[in-house]
Order: sequence, then structure tokens, then C-alpha cells
Amino acid sequence: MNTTDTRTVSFTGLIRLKLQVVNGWSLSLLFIAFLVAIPVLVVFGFVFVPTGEVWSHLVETVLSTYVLNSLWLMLGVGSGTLIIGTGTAWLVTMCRFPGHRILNWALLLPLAVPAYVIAYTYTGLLDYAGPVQSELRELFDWTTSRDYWFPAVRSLGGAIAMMSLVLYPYVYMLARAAFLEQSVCVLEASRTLGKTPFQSFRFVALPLARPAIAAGLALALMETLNDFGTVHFFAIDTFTTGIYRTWLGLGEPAAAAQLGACLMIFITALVMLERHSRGRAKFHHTTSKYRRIKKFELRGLRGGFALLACFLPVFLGFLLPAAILLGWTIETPEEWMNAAFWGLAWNSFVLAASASILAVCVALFLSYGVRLHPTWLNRTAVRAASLGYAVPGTVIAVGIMLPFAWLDNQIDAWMRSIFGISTGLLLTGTIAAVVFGYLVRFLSVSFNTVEAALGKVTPSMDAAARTLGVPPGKTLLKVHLPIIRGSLLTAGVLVFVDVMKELPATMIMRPFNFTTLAVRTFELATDEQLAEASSAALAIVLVGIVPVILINLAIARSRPGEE
Amino acid sequence: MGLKLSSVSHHFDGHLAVDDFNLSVGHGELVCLLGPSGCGKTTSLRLAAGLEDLQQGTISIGGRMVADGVSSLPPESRDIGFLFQDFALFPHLTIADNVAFGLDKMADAEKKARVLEVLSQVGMETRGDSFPHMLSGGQQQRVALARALANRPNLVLLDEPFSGLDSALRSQVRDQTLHLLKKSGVSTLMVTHDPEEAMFMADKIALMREGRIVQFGPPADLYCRPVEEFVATFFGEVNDFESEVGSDGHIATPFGGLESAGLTIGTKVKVLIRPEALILSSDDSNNEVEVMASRLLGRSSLIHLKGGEGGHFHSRMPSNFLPKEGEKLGVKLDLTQTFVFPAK
Repeated sequence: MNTTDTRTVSFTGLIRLKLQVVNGWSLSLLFIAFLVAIPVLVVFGFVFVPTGEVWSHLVETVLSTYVLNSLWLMLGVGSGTLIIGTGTAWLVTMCRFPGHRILNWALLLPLAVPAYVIAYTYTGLLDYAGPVQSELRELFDWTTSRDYWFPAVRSLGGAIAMMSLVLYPYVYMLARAAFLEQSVCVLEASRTLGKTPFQSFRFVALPLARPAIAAGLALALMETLNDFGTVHFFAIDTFTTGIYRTWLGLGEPAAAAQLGACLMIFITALVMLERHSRGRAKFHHTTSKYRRIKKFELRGLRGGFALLACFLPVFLGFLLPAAILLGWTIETPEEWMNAAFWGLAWNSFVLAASASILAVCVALFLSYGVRLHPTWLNRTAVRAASLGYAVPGTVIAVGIMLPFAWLDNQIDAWMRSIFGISTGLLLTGTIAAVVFGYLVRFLSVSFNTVEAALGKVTPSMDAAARTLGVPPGKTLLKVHLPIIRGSLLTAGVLVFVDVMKELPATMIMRPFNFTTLAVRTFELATDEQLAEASSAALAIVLVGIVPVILINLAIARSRPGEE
Repeated sequence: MGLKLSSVSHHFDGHLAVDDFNLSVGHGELVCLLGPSGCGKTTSLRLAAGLEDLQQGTISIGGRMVADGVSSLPPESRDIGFLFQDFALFPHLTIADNVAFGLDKMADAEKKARVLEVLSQVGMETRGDSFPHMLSGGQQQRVALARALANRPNLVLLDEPFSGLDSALRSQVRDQTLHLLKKSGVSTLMVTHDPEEAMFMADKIALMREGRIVQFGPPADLYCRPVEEFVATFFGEVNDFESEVGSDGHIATPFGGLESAGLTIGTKVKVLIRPEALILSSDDSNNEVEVMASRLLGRSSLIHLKGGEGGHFHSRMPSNFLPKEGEKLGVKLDLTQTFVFPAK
């Protein structure tokens, strides 16, 4: 009876579709999905709005810089995350060397550090005035920067290094899962056919893991394109900073939206690539037999080399920056031992908590709605609503601010013409707008988690409750909610942490004088007060460790064949 | 009338799953929907429950119209009990809470008494505080049955209720289920793909193929008077071969002539003979066959025979009957287990 999965739109399908739209669940589902999809639709819509001179000005002056910088960044971060992520994943799953057990989960830790935080930290460490160069100058009696060469942190190369260090866990995570899911039998078959362990990796394991690695790479690249803090701080003009500048600097919302649309078209291609790979990933297991992986023993120098190769990313991507942040935080107690800092933390907490509760509720509603009525229309609507994760925060901000400002003006004009009262801006620049922005951006995070959890509740649970006389809404409360409670919590935590780290959308949409930990970090760092920025940054990193732990637990639970 | 489906048709994606389907389950009657996988039997059951939206036809339960292709009562308003293949016990609720799940309208004391009553009917009254995962498969099945019966439904629907159990347990649980359903007097529609199970449980069997009922009646009718080849073959292995009505009005077989049953001379026919209808003995020399191999299968023996022009037949004889390879034996044909249909 697996009819829902394969149902496509045929003539009869359309008749059924018409029948099913007119029920409460589907109507509300379509409405909410539409609401969440508005920003993305608005930005796409601006492709068709003529902006004339501004656009041609952009094309003549900065557009090629934006494109080139973004492409270089993607190429660099792509190669960096690919090499670090796949290499370390292979070492920890296939080989045994000192510390491989700890590194197995520790390699995920850099995920807790936002790219802009690591960028500030290394700038503070390696800049001309930083401790490293000062020590070198003292050591070798150099006086000015002309006396020696030192790589510039604030450069395209620096940005690539920073982002690779914190984004490689996406590739690592998926590559590791793919290596572990692969049946050892396949590798053993390769060995019996005369291939060495390395050849087996090269010709069997790696091609089998390719879809997963591609998916991880796509995630890392989406984050790269989303990044605003790092590139802004390093003064590298990319699409994201370009949109920010066109919007706030030039005051050209339409042109900003068009830049956003360009970026989104590019990302759509990336997402489709990822979907394509994931579609293949479904079929890549040819045997269901799992056996514990017999790890390849690395001794002596080779073991030491493997340890170093896996330890360096953890050290550079998490331990060193976290230690530096901790040191600075201790040095600057006046920054966080005051009410203002805790006010910021409270702001961040309120935003993150309300956004995550909202995101989980909406995700639950949408995924249960599709479960009740899996029509083509509903599934498409929900997919459109969860597109936001692929869209950079700046683009979402533009897509929200434009319609909200328009609506505010309409309401204001109407109120003035009828009652002679100016209502001003009701929606724009409110907390509600910011939370809505987070919902748009992070809905897919909660949706994927909730949907996966609901998928594990067998459909006969629904049917059992219904035939026992309980209507759908109550079934959700009495049956599904208690069963998937844990996953709802996970979904909430994931959104919470993403909101805590979020920078560009918050920067653009926040109410006047409303500051969060992330914004504070950004502002202080932009003022070169890197040490002062450390306490807020450290708080974000600490919260960011929670999902790393959750992910590790989830992987440990879900995996056969691993010790 | 417990359940009545009239002119029901249902399609998925242009594929007709149920085709102009008519079925009645009398009050207190147990009817089995039997058929190969994909024949539409589960769809019919889910339509009756309201778990699929009815597209065409009408369905009434206990004399009340529940769906007519335009409007339809949701499953929660149909007053039915459904027993699922995977039992679908709620993992977060105790056994007692599972059984009480649909009893919202009862007062607490009444609810408690009813839960205890149905649980003791299935012999599970001591496990009310356990959780589903603590029970064995057979126990889960009994709890699921108790839950389905708790609210005294008008109709009970069973979807392959024994297929999740291992074979040793299955016959025992099947027996208990049959007696409990009969005792409670509820009308029941059950889906199964196992003909032996259907014959064990059913007052009447509806054998389905490609969304239609091929034959409907008491089990003995389907077994002994199949209306077409499909029915005869579905209930067990048969020896089949083609022949035709000879000029003497008889149908020639390696085991003697058969009555033509009104078919005209020259008609091509298909002859179906159940293995147990080929009765072997050493004294009958009329129709001789040669033994190719013989194996003891437990309760019966299977003898492979060479007969006619290169024909290969199976005979099933009671208990330990193991003639030697190459031995010549006489055959007597049991005509009640021999069927003739015009060839297609």
C-alpha cells in the first residue's frame, strides 16, 4: 500500500487534489507555507522589476568583484573542507592510531565556532599588533613590517582558511557516516579480489561515499555564501556584503534584492546538485550485512602522522580559538561582569527561544499536515517553505523588509486618510520581524528533524487512533507528541543555536538599539576591540557545543557496525 | 447487516485497485477477504474503515451509510475496531491506557471496569501496567484485539492479524481470536493472503483478484466447487494439463476419461487435479503410472509420477507411503477434487 510516495499528478490526481484542498488542515498548511515562502518569492520576484541605472552601475563597477571573490571563496573553502573533512573521516573510521576514539567526536567541535568568531580570534592573534608578530619582532629585533614577511590574516586566503577550519565538520560528518554505513563486506570483497587497503578505499569506499561527501560539501558552501561577519571584517567584497551595502549604504532595496536573486539562483543550482547526490545515496547500499569495521593499525611514525593530521583541525578550529577567547574573557571582566552583558545574553536568549519554539510548532504543523494529506500541492508548498536554509541571511532580510515596509506604508496611508493618524512602522524593525526572519531561515532545520521523527511513527499508529474514535488534532496531541518528544527538543535546540550564531539577518532587521551577543561581537570586533568582543563570542561558542553533543549522541545511537 | 460495500471502485494514480466491488458482511458474521498481494483486499478494508477516502460507490456499517463518494464519515466516527498487521500499540502508553484509548466518553469507573473486562477476555488482565515493548508478539496481538473490541464496535476489521507472529504461535492465537470474535458476536471482515487461515477463520470467503471478487461463499464451496481455475489453484497445488472433449463426450486423461459436463465435442479444456485426488495403489492395473521419486513430508508423502506422454504429476498420500523409484502403480482418481474448465 505504498501509494502516497509514488502518487504523481495525473488527471484523477487533480480531482482528488481539488477535493483535498478544501479541508482545514490543508488550507492552514498552504497558508503558513505561503507566509514562510514570501521572502524567497519576493526576492525572486524582483528579477522582473526594472531598476535601470543602479543595476547597470553595479554591473560596471562592483559586480565582477562580488562574483569573483565569492567564487574564489567557494573554490578555496570547497577544497579545504573536502581535504580536511574526507581525510580525517577516513583516518578515524578505517584506522587505529593513538587518540582516534577521542578525535572521532572531537573533530566535530569546530562546528560550535561561527566563522566570524574564529576570524576575530586569529586576527587578534596574528595581526601586526598581535602577540605572535610582537614576539617575532622582539626575537629578531625587527622594528617595522617592512623588515619581515608575514602572511596577512585579513585577506581572501585568510578568509578561506578561517571558513575551512570551521566548516569542514559538515563534510567530515557526512563522509564519516557514509564510510561507517558502508558494509565492510564490500571492502572485504575488494580485498579478496586482490586490492590493497588503500586501493579498496580509493576504488570502493570513496566512490560509494561520494554522494554523502557532495552533500556535506554543498552544506559547507551554502554556509560560505551565507557568511557575512568574516568577509565584512576582512573587507572582502562578496555577494553577501554587496547586498548589505547596496541596501543600507546605497539605499537601493530593489538592486539589493536583485543581487540576492542572482545569489539564490546560484544556490538553487547547488541545492539541486545536493538533492541529486542525495537521491543517489538512497540506493548505494547493496548489502544489508553489517560487520564491525576492522581498523587498520597505524604504528610508530605513521600513527603519529595520523594523530597530527586529525588533531590539527581540532586544535586550530576549536581548542586554540576557544583558549584565546577564554584568556581574553578573563582579562576583560569589565565586559561581562555587568548588567549590560547579561542584558545582551537575555536578548539573544529571548530571540532564540521564541524562534525555536515557533519553528518547532510550525514544523510540527506542516509535517503532520502533509502526513494527513500527502497531496502534490501540500508537499510542494512545504518544500517551498523550507527553502530558507539555502538562502543567505542578508537575502532573507531583504525579502522580509521589502514587503513589511510596503505593508507598513499601506497601513499608515490608510490610517491617515481615514482617521488622520500616522501609525508609522508597525512591523518593520520589530522583534516580531526578526523572529519571523529566523523562522524563514531555520524552518528547514526543525522541519527535517520533526519530519524524520514523525516518519518513524508507523502510519498504523494514526489509523489505530482514528479507528478508536480520536480525531486528527487530538491524535497528534495524544499519540505523536509523546512519542516524538525527544526529537522536538532536538529540533528546538538546533534552531536555538543557529539563531544565537546568526548575524547578517539580525544586523539588518533588528529594532533600533536592540543588540544581541552576535551583534555585539560583530560591533566590537569591527571597532578593533577584539579582546572586548571575546566574552560574547565565547558565550556563543559554548552554546554551540550543545548541538555537537546532540549530533554525536544521535550518530552513536543510529549506527550499526561501530563500537 | 454488519457491513455493506456497493459498487465501490478505487484507483491510485490511474491504477484501478478496487473495481466495482460489492460485499456484504451479515450481522455477527466473519468474512475473509482472500487474495494474492496487490489484489485490492487491504484497500477494500481501509475503505471500509475510512482510512482511504472513498472515490466511488457506497459503504454502510450497521445499516448506517458512512460514505457515498461525495461525503464520508472520518474513521473516528464510524464505530469500528481495527486490528493492524503490526498491532500499532502506542509505545508511550501502558497496556491498560492503550485499551482505554478510545473510551473517552465513559466515566472513569466504567472505563476501568471495561478495560479489565476485555483484558481478561484475552487473558492479559495481569499485564495492565506493562508497556507494549515488554510483551511478546502474541501478547501484543491479544492486547491489540482487546483494544479494538473495547468500545463494543459495530464492526471489526482485521488486516493480516497473524502475519507478524511465528508459525508455532500463529495457530494458537488464531484459535483464541476466532472464539473471542464469535463470542462477542461482532461482525468481522478480515484480510489474509493465506487460504488455510481464511478457511480456519471464515464463515464466508471472498476470493479477490485484480480488484474484483472472483468467488464468494462458504469455504467448502470455494475449495470443492471453484468457479474458475484461479480459485482452484489458489487453494493449493494442483496437477494441470490440457485436453479436449473427445468424440465420445469424455475428456481423456492419463488416469481415465472424465465427464464433459455439457461441453461440446472438440472443446479445449484445462484439467486440474489436486495431488490428494491421485490415489495410488499396487492392485489397480487400469491406469498405470511410474514412480520417479517419493519423499516423506511429515503428515503426508509426496510421490512424483511419470504418466501419459511425458507428463509429470504429484500425488499426495497420507502418512508414510514411499514406493521405490521405477515402481509401477495403479491410480484411482477422486472426482470431487478434479476440476475441468474450458481452456482460455
